[in-house]
Amino acid sequence: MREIITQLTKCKEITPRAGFMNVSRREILRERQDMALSFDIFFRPLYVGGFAALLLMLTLSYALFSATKPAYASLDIQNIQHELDELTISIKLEEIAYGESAAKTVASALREITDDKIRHLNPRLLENEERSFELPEEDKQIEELLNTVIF
Amino acid sequence: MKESELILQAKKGEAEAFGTLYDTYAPAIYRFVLFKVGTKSDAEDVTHQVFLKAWKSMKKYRDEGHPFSSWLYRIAQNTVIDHYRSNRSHANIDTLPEDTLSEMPGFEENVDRGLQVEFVRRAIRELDDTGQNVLLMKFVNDLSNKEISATLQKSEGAIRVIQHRALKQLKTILEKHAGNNHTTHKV
Repeated sequence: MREIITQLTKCKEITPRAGFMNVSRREILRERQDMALSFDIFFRPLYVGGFAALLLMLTLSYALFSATKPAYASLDIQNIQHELDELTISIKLEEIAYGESAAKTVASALREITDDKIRHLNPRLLENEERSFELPEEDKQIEELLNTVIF
Repeated sequence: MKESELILQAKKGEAEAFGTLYDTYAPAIYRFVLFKVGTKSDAEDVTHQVFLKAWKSMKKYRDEGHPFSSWLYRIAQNTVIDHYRSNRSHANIDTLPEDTLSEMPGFEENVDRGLQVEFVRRAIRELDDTGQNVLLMKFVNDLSNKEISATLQKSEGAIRVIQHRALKQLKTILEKHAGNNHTTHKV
C-alpha cells in the first residue's frame, strides 16, 4: 500500500505549461466580474432587526400622517366649500352665456320687425297677399257648405 | 498577504489579488482536471473555465469556514461534468499517453518515472468518481481530510473509509495491469 501511495505522490510533478498559465490568467483577469444580485442581506441576523425597525417606523409615520386627514374627502368642510365655490362660478358662466345668446336673438327679431326691406314683413306685400286670399263667390258658398257639414 | 485578505480584495474586483489566488491554485486544479478529462488540451480548457467562473462569481463567494480551495474544487467538479455533457465523444486516454507524460518537467531525462505516473493515472481512472476525487485530493494535491470533507460534503470518517477502499481497489487494478504487461512481454 505504501508503494502505491509513493506512486500517487509522484503525480504531484505534473504541472501546467507556463505559456498556458500566463495566457489563461491574463484572459480571465480581462473579464469583468458579475454583479452580485442577492437578497441574502435581508435575512442576515445583523440586518433583520434594522430592516424590521425601519419598516415599523415607515408604517407608523404613514399611519400618523394619514390620521390627520379625515377618512372621507366628502365630509371635509373645506373641500365642500371649495366644490360649492366652483359650482357657483360655473353657473354664473352659464347664465352669462345664455344672456348673450338671448340678447342676440331679441336684437335680431327687433331688427327684422323694424326693417321694411325684409320681404315677408313688408305691409304692402301682406296686404296683397290678404287680397289674394279673398275667395270668389262660388268658392264662398262651397266654403259655407263645408263648414256646415263639418261643424 | 494572507489568503483571506486576497479573497476580500478579489471580491472587491481587484484583479491582481485574484491573479495571486490563480497562481496558487491553478496547478492543483489542473492536475485534478487532467486526471478526469484525460487530455492536456481538455485539461487546459476546463481549468481556464474553472477560474473564469470563479473570477466572475467572486462577489457571490461567502467564507463559511471552509478553505477557498474547496470552493474551487466544487467548481472544477461541475465544470468537468459540463465538459462531458458537451463533448460526449471524448478521446480515450489510453490512446494519448505521451500527451500527459510531456507535462512532467525533465521527462526526457526520466522516462521511467513518466511511465510510472501514466500507469497510475490510467489505473485511477478505473476507480469510481468519489474514490478518484479522494485519492487525487489527498495524495496528488495534498489536501487534508478536513479540506476533502468540506469539498465533497462528506464527514471526515467517510473520507477515511473511501480513501482506504479506493487504495485497495487501486492496488488490485495496478497488480492486474502489471500482470497483463508481464504476460504481454513474455509473449
